[in-house]
Amino acid sequence: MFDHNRPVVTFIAQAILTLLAIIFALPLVAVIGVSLRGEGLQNYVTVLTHPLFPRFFLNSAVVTAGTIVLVFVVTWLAAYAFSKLKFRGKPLLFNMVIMGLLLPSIALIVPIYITFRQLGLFNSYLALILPYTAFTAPFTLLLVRNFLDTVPDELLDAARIDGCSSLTALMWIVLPVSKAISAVVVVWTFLQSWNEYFLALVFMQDSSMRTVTQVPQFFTGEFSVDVTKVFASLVLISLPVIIAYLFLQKSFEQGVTSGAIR
Amino acid sequence: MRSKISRSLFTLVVLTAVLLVGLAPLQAQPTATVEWWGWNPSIERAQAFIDAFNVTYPDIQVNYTFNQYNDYLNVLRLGVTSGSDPDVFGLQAGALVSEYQDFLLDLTPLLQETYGDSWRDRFYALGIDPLTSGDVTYALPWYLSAAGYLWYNQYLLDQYGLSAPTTWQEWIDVTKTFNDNGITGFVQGARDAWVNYDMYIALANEIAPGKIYQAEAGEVPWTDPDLVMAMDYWRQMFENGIMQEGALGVAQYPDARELWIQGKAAGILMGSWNTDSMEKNAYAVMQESLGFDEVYSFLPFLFPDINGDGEPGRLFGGPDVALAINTSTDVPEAAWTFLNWMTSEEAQALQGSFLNVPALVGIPLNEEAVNTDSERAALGQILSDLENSIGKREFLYLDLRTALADALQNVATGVQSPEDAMAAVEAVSQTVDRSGS
Amino acid sequence: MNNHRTLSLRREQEQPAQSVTTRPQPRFNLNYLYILPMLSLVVAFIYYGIIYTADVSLYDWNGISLNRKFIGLDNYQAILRDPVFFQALKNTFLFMFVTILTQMVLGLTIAVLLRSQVRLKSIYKIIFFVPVVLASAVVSYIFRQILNANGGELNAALTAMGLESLAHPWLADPATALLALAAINIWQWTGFSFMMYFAALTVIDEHLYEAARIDGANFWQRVFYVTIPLLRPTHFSLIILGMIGTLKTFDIVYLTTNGGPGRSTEMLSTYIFKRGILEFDAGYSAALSIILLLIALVLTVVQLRAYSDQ
Repeated sequence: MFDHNRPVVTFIAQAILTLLAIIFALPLVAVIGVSLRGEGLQNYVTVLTHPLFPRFFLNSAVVTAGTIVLVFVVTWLAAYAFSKLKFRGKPLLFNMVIMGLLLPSIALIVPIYITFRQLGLFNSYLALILPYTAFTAPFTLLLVRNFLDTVPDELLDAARIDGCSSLTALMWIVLPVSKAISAVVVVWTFLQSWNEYFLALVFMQDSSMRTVTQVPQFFTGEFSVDVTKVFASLVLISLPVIIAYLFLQKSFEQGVTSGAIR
Repeated sequence: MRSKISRSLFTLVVLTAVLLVGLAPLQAQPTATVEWWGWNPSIERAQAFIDAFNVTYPDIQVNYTFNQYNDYLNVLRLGVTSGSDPDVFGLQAGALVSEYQDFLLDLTPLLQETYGDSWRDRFYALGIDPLTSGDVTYALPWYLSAAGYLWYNQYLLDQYGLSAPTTWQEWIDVTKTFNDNGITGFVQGARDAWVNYDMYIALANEIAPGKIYQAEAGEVPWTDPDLVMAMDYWRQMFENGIMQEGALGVAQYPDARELWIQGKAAGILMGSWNTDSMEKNAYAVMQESLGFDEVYSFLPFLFPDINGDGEPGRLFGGPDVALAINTSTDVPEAAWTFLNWMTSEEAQALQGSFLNVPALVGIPLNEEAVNTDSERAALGQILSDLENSIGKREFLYLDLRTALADALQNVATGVQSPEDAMAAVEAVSQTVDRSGS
Repeated sequence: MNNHRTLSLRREQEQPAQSVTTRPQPRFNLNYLYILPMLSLVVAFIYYGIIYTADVSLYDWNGISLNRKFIGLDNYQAILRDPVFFQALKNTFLFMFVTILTQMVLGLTIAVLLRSQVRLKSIYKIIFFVPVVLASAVVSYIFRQILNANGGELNAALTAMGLESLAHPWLADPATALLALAAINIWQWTGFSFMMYFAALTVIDEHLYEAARIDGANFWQRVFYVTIPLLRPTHFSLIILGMIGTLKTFDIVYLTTNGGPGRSTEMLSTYIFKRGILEFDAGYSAALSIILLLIALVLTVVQLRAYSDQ
C-alpha cells in the first residue's frame, strides 16, 4: 500500500515506529534497571540460589510441558474431527466447547476444587495440567479448526486411496503440513500455563509444589519487600517465555496468518 | 480398519494417561504430621517455633503453609471446607471466627482437662474473650496486638527539634515541618482498608470513646454527630497535609512501612505489632536490604488528643493471630499437643523474644532484643497501654466493614461528604443480621 | 478391510462439502472418539462449574457453613439494586471500550507501518510482542513500581524532564486509576492486535493496491478503502477476543489497585472475588458469575450475528 519509491515515507514510518518502540520498551528497560540496583548482578545470584527456586522452576516446567502435550493432543483430535470428519450435532458440540472461553477461572475455582477433592489430586501436577488444558484448549481448537478448514479435502482423499485410517491421515498427512499452526498452539499454551497465577496459588499449597509466578512472594518478606530481588525474579521467570517465543517466532507468525484470521 | 483406528486412539489415550500419572508425585506419609496454615507468621518465624516444638516433641512433624492474607482467605476457605487439609490454622478474631465456627473444634474440654476450670486465667481477657462464646472456645490467642499508636522515627524528630504530636494542630505542624524539609511527615498506605479503619477507630475513640462499638452493635446510628465528626477529621487529613500525596495508591505493607523504615517518612499509624521494627536482627536485615546506615530509634506514641480532654487516645485490639483446630483433622491429639505447646510458657516466651505481645499473662517482652534505652522503656509501656485498651479492633460484621471501607475511600477521594458517607454506612448497618452472635 | 466409515475411498472433489463420508452412519460413530477428550475436559471443568455455580446462586450461603438457605432468585434481585454492581459494570465496559479501540488503532498503525520499507523490522516486532508473553503477575509488579506516586519511574522521568506539574499519583486518584489500568492493558496487549493485523496484511494481494493506485487513490484512500475493509475478519476477531478478555480481566486489577481507590477500578471479576472470598457471600458471588456469563454470551452472539449478517 506504500509508494515504495518515496524515501520520505519510509523515513516518517521509521520515525513513528521508533517512537512507539521506545515507549513500549521503556517499562522493560525500567524492570531491568530496577533489578540491577543495589547489588547489581548479585540480585540475580540471590534469586537463583534461593533454595526453592530450582524446585519452582522445575514445577512450572513440568506443568507447562504436560499442558502443552495434553492441549496439543486434545486440540488436534478435536479440530480434525470438527473440520474433516462427519458426525451428528457438530455445530452444537463445537459451540459448546467454545463457550468454555467465556467464564473467568476465578468464578470456577470452587467447583474445580470440589472435583479435585473427589479425585484426590491436590498438590499434584495434574491439579494444574487438567484445568489449564480445559481453559486453553477451546481457544487453540478455534485456531486449528480454522486452519484445517483451509486445508483442501483432496489432500486427505489422496491419503485414503493409500488406505490410511483417519488417524493415520491426521498424523502423517495433516500434521506435517501444519507446523506453523502447531507452533501457535505450543507458544500460546506455553504462555498460558507458565504465566498462570491464581489456580497455581490455590491448588498447590505444598510449598515444594509451587510454581514460578509465586516466586516474587518469597522476596516479599516480613520486614520489607526486596524490590531489586523481586524484579530480578520477574526477569528470570519471564525469560523462558521470551526465549520460547523468539525461538518459534517465525512459525508463530505464519501460524497466526493461517489460523487466526477468519 | 475400524479396529486399527480404535487401536491407534487407544494407544494414544493410554500413552497420555501413563505420562500424566507418572507426573503425579508419590508422597510418603509420616506417622504424625500436623498441617499448620497461616498468613502470619512468616515462613522463617514459623520454623523457629516448629524447631522449638520438635525439641520436646520430636515425633510430631509440623508443616507450615504460608499465604499472604487475601490469598490465605481464599485458600483456607477451600481447604477447610474440603475436609481435612489444615489441622491447625490461624484466624483473626471477629468475623472470621464466626464464619468458620462450624469447622472449629471446641477447645473447652481439652483446656479443662489440662488446666482445670481456671484455665481462662492464664490468658489476658483481651485475648481470650473474643474467641469464646458461652462455654465454647473456638480458638486460642497466639499473641496479642493493639492498634492506635503513631510511630515516629525519633532520630528524625530530634534532627528537626520536634516532638511527637500530642494534639491535632501539633500533628499538622510536625507533618508540615517534615514535608517542608523533603521528608514525608506522615505516611499511610491508604490503599489498604485495614489501616483506614484503624485510623477511623482511633479518631472516633478519641472524639467519643467507645461510641463506635455501640454503633457496631446497632445501639447508636452511624450518623451520630460524633461519628460523622470523626469522618470529617478523616476528610481533613487529605486537605491539611497530614496524608501524603498519593496515599490512596500505596499499600501499608510493604510500601508505606518501607518509606518509614528507610527514614524517608517520619510517622506512621501502626500498633503494638510494629515492635518488630525495633528488633535488632530485623533492623540489621532492613539496614542491609534497604541500604541505609543511620541509627534510628523507632518509638510508639499514643494517638493525639482531639476532643481536648487532655488525655491521649487509647489502644484498641485483641488477638493478633488466633489458632484453631479443624473439626475434621485426622490427628486431633497431635494437633492439640501442638496448639497447647504454642500457648505454653515456652512458646509464649519465644513470642516475647520476637517482641510480639504474649497471650499469656506474666510473660515479658525481651528487652535484649532492642537497640536503645528509649526503645526498652517503650516495651514496658506497650504492655501497660495494652491493658488499658478501650475495645476491639476487628468488627463482627463484614458487610459493615466493607461499607465503612467504601465510606472512608469515598470521603478521602471527595466523592462523598462525611454526612453522606456515614448515612450510607448506617443504611448497611440497618440490614445487618445481628441475631447470630 | 475397506469398511471404515470415516474416510471414503471414493474421490468426490466435485463436492465442496468438507466431509467426505457418504456411507450410512454406523450405530456408534467412532468419530466421536476424537472429540471425547476435549469434551470431557470442558464438561468436567467448565460445565460442571457452571452448573455448580448456578445452583449456589440460589442460596444464602457464606461458602463455608454446613447450612445454607434456599432463597430462589433473591440474590439476582439484590444485584439489580446493588450500586457497586453497576459501578463495576460501568468500569468493565469503559475499560473494554478504551482498551479494545486503542489496541486496534495502535496495532493496525504499527502493522501498516511495518509493511513499508523501514529497517530493523524484526527488532520492532520483538519489542511490540514481548509484553504479550509476560505474565500478568509480572506486568502488575512492573507497573505498580513505575506508576507509584512516590519514587515511581514515570513521575521521576516527568520531573527530570521539567514536567513536574504532570507528575501524578496515577493509580491512587480515582479520576485516573481506571485509565492507568487501561494503559497497562494496552501496553500488554497491543502486540497481539499488531500481530493479528500484520499476519492479515501479508495475505492481502498487492495487486489490489496497484489497481487502486492506477485509479488515483492516495495512500490514505488506499488504507481506508482497501486495507481496512479487507481486514474485517481481523477486526471482528480482535473485538470478540477483547470483549471476552476484558470480562475475564482479574490478575492485573487484583495485583495493582484491587478495585480501588474506592470502587473506581472495581471490575465484575474482582467484585465476584471480593463478595465470594473476602466477604463470605458465596451465593451472591455465584449469582454475579452467572450474570457475567450471560453478558459474555450475549456479547458474543451479537458480535457473531453482526459479522455473519454483513
